[in-house]
Amino acid sequence: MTRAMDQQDAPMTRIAIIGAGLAGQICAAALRANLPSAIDIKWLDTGRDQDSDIFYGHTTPPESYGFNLAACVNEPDLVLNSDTSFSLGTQFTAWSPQNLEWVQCSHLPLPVMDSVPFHHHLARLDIDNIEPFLMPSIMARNGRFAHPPPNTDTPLSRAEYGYQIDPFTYGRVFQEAATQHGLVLTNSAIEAVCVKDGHIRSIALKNGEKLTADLFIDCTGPKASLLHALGSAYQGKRALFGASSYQAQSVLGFSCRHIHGTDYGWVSESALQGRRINMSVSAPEDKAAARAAHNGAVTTEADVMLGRRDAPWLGNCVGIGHAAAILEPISTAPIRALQRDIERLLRLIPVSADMSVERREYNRLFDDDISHMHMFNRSFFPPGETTPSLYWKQASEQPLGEKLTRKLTLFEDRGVLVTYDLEPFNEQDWTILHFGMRRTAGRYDRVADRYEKRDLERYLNTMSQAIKTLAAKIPPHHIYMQGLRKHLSNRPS
Amino acid sequence: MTPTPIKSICIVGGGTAGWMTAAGLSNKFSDLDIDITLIESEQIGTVGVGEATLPHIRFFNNTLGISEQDFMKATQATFKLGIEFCDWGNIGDAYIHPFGDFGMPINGIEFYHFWTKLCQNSNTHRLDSYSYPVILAQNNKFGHPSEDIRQIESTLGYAYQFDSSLYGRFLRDYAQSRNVIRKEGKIVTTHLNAQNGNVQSVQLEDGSRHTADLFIDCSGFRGLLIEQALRAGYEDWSPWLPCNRAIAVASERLTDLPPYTRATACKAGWQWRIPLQHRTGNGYVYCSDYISDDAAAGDLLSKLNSAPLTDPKQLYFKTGRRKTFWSKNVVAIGLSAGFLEPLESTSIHLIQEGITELIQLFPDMHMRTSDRDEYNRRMSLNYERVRDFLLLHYVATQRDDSPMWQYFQNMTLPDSLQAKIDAWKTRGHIMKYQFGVFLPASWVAVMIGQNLIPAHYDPRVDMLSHDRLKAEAESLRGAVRDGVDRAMRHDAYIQGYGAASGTFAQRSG
Repeated sequence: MTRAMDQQDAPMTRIAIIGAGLAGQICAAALRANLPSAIDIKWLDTGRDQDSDIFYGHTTPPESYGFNLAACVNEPDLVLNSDTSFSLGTQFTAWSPQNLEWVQCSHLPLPVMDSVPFHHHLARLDIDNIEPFLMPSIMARNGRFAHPPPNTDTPLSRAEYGYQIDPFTYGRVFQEAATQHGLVLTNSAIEAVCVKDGHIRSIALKNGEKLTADLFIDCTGPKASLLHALGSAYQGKRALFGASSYQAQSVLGFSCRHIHGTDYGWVSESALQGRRINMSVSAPEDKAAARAAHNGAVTTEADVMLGRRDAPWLGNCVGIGHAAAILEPISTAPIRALQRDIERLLRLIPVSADMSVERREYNRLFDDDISHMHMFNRSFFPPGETTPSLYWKQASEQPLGEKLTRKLTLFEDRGVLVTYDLEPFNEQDWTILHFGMRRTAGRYDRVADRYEKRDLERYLNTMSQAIKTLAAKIPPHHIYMQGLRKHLSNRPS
Repeated sequence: MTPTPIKSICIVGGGTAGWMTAAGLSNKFSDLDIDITLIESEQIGTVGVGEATLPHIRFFNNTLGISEQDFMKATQATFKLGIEFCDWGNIGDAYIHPFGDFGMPINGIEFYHFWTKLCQNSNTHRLDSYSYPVILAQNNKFGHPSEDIRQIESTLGYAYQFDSSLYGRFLRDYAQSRNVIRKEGKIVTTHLNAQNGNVQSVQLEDGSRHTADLFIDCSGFRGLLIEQALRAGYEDWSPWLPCNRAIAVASERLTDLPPYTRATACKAGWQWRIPLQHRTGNGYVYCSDYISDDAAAGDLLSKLNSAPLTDPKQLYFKTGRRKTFWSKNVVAIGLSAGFLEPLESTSIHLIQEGITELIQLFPDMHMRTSDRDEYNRRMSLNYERVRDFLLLHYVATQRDDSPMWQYFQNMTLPDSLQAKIDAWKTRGHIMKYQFGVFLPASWVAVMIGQNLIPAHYDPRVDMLSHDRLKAEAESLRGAVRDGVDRAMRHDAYIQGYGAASGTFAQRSG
């Protein structure tokens, strides 16, 4: 056996995670919790440059619960050790020049009657608002929260929830978990990345040390220091500016994020324990207006270029989170992308120094995931909007692409949801977004005609009444949180 | 465009595809104002493909509201737990591709990764011994799956083996009782609308014309409407799946009624054995480049496990699919849509997919391009993914003992399949998809069954201590054994369940 082959066959035993922003913190916790101790993990903090982490947004999807558990971060940790609160979705107001208003919530599958999807029955009755039939939406609007019980008899059990987060405090809980599992965080800036034959051989650190590993994980954010050194190409699509600020709040706010459309772009408010986090987003040219939204209280700001790497895994280096792709935080796409990056990496941790199989498969799956998430985000903007605002103009000028055109055409024409393999946003997410964007189906499944209109109206009326009545009995977010904290603090440890 | 509903459907051809379509549509559109007519001719025989099925058919039957016992009695059906593949990886090898998983995932990681690790540490038990449906099948036993997911009995899926012409007849009664009109007659001419190129009517031998808004072409290989009238074109897949003929013969029923289909690899193709209540279906799928028809017939007859009941029947085909399944106002379902050899019992399943997608995308009079495109996209994906899975059987093998096997050894695979095999061999990774009939467990069954053992397992497996792993694996094997001990014999189960046909009850009694 030649020496080269020998090296290709060598087992993969050393991983280096570079970067300690949100991506690095979550990645470190997840990898340490899931990989055997025979795999050595080194973790490097290259300096405080996490400002762009505000572009992960301030809400997480329902999948975060299970994802976090697998990284040994449980919900009580988050609630007690950070300002994280619950999120039933995002309420949009004055959205787009069309001035749209809805709650983008997460929901388990909607009722199917006689194999006809729910929204066809609504289309038949010319009902263009799905919200009265969505428990999480009604709860979010009224600022209420309770954990959905596993019992399927109550509308509450159909709700799904994520978290409202501050990426900085949220990330620290993961950092803590990683450290508790024995991971040591070293601080040093990078002096030079030593590259040979398209692979990173080592990283020379400013502190004089040299970092070597079999696999490097680039969590250095949009600048992607490692991938950059490997000559990775980034496909930039749209430049955005974002600014955020905090506002102290003694009473916990609503159980959903609020996004309000503005001339320059949008502004969001997310309720955390003890404070509120505000964010404004605009085209870079309208920075001043976006900053002004914070009344001089801006704590963090960042310029980013939305887009993605051609291939986030090059040689022996994988870019995670913003190092791989930046999505606009109008949906939960940024956190979903980060979680999927890490899950994908865990499924494909190389078994030897030759990572060609893992690299190819990782990049293929990344490509699907990112294009699907971009598709969802793209659907928040009506195509071809004519408006003087740069933000809205640029957003609505983004090409739709063949896959999204198919989705929009089939839904608007006949209420059919076109789905591709393993999409990150499910049929309910799409249905709720279509209704929110006032996309109505031109025709419905004729089988819906089997129901007497009167019976259907009665059924829907009962359903929405039950939701309304139950929602009124559910405690406000802050009361529920108080009770939960008390309960968790009294737990025998 | 205002919706203008379709008022009439004409199904051309009354084989399995025709009557399944008629039954599916008549159930879906009952009490809506749509006339459904099926035209068939007794002069034209039906092929009656697909005597073995996939578990999805239960969903089809359930939707129709068909009682399992009635259906089984009427079609001489037996239960099917999977397919036994003999001589595929190597001559003398055998494995069962079951409907169900191998073991349960541990910490979210599929059991076969743990098994791979056990094998690297001198475990000698086959992956089969951790699969309840495989061991059940090997013992000729059966029981319905338990709904309690803690029970080993919940880890199986099942389908049926039945007489597909009887199934056609059964569904004909069903459809006719739901107002489907059956017209007897041979179609001689198809009339196209000069303006839009749609099929306007079909003319029968007796001169009568039948018009409809939507035509479903279930006319078999020839594709009377989709090909002969609309020239949809055929994508030839014979470079990948070169078998182009089959010969079928029925033989006496088997004494030990096996709850599985058998597919035995031969020098020029493969042979099937499908046990039904009243008889056994046998056949040889082969490539005419490598064996003559007479030799194939002789080979098949010499290998029967029971005495023949009929003369061998010859079939000709070309593997591939129609370039467009839905063209103008014609949707091709069944053999008119494409043909893939029945190695994994997909023929009836692809009919079912065609019906399900048609219902989802059911057109109105405008026949929008977007509906057709989406239907064609979905069905292409279905066919292509089945094709890759079938091809896997021929290429994941060590056999090179005949020109046919040498042909496969030298083949350049479709990229999609090559990548799958590489990912598997390197690290036991399955490139899974959401749309397509074969789930990861099926890919695992065939690859491991044909001796493709991954070089590495998922590194996360090492989080579990070796002793714990050994104990968990042993307890799983024990649960499988105990479950099988508790189960009933397949033939007795059919009797007890009230699913035995008259002839079966008599002979078994």
